[in-house]
Amino acid sequence: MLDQKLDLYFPDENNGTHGALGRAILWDIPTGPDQGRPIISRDKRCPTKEFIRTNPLDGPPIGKWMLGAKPYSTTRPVFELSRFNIDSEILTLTNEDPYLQLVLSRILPNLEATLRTLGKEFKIRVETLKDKEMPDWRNANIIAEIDDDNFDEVLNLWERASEELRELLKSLGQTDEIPQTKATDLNKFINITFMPTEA
Amino acid sequence: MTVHGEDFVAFAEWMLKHGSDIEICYRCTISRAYYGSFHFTIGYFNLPSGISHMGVLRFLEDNGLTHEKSMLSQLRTSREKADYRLGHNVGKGNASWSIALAKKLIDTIKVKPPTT
Repeated sequence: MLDQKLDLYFPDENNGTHGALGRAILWDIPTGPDQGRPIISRDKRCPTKEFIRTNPLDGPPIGKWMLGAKPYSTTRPVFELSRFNIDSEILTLTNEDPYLQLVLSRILPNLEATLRTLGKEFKIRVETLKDKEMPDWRNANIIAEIDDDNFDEVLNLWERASEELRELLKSLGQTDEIPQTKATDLNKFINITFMPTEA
Repeated sequence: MTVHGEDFVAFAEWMLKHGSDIEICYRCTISRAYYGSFHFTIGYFNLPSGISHMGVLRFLEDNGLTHEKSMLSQLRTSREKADYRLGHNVGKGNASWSIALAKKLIDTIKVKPPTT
C-alpha cells in the first residue's frame, strides 16, 4: 500500500546537476522501513521499478525535496554523500534534516578538493561526537585523516577548511537557502577534525 | 598559582623532544597538551574553578568561539584516546599534532578579549 508521493528530479550522471535529463520522476514511497531512505543510504538503494514513473519536466527544476522537507536549490546532487563514510546516526539525521544534508553535501566535496591540494593521501569520514558528561549532546564530526607530518601545513589547511564551513553557512543563511537560526545551529553542530593517518 | 596552562604545553613539548621514542611518552604528551589548553582557557576567560570539560567547550561555543571550541574538542578526543584506549595505536604524529593544536589554540585565544 502506498501513502506517500514525492516529486524528485533525476540527477544527470554526466555533469552532476539536477534536472538535466529534462524529466521529473514521481516516486511513490511505500510505508515501512524503506520510507524516505533511497536517496541517501550508503548502499544506494533505489525504489523498485513499479514505484517509479517519469513525466516530461515542466519548467526548470526547483529541487523538491523528500518527505515534506522544504525545497531548495542546489547545483550539487545529494548523491555525492553516498561516496563518503558517514555513520548511521548522522545518516539518520540527514534524512530528517534537509539543511544538514545540504550542508554536508556541499562541504564534504569542498573539503575533499581542499585536501587534494596537499598531494597526500587522506580519508574522510563523518562520525557522531558524544560526551559522557552530557548524554543529550551531539555533534557531527567530520574527520579527515591525513598522511602528512608537516603539521603547520595541515593546521593551515584545517583552518582554511573550518573557515570554508563558516563561510558556507553564512552565505546559505544570507541567501535564505537555510534559515539564519538554523545556519547558526549547524555552525555549532558540525565540527571538523584533522588528524595524522596513524591515529 | 605557580603553574599555568602554558607550562603544561611547554612540558609536553619538552617531553616529546627529550623523552624516549616510546608510546607512553606520546600518550603523556597528548594528555598534557590537552590539559594545558583546558587550563589556559579557564584561566584566560576567568571561568569558575571546577568547571567541567564539557562546560569549557560549551562556553566557547556559546560565545561564538567555534573555531577554538573545535580545537579544544579535537585535543580532548585525542586525550581520551591516549589515556583510556590502551589498545589503540598512538604514535609520534599524534603527539606532535596535539602540541601543534594546543599552541595554536593558545595563540588564537590570546588575541581575544578576556571577557567575551
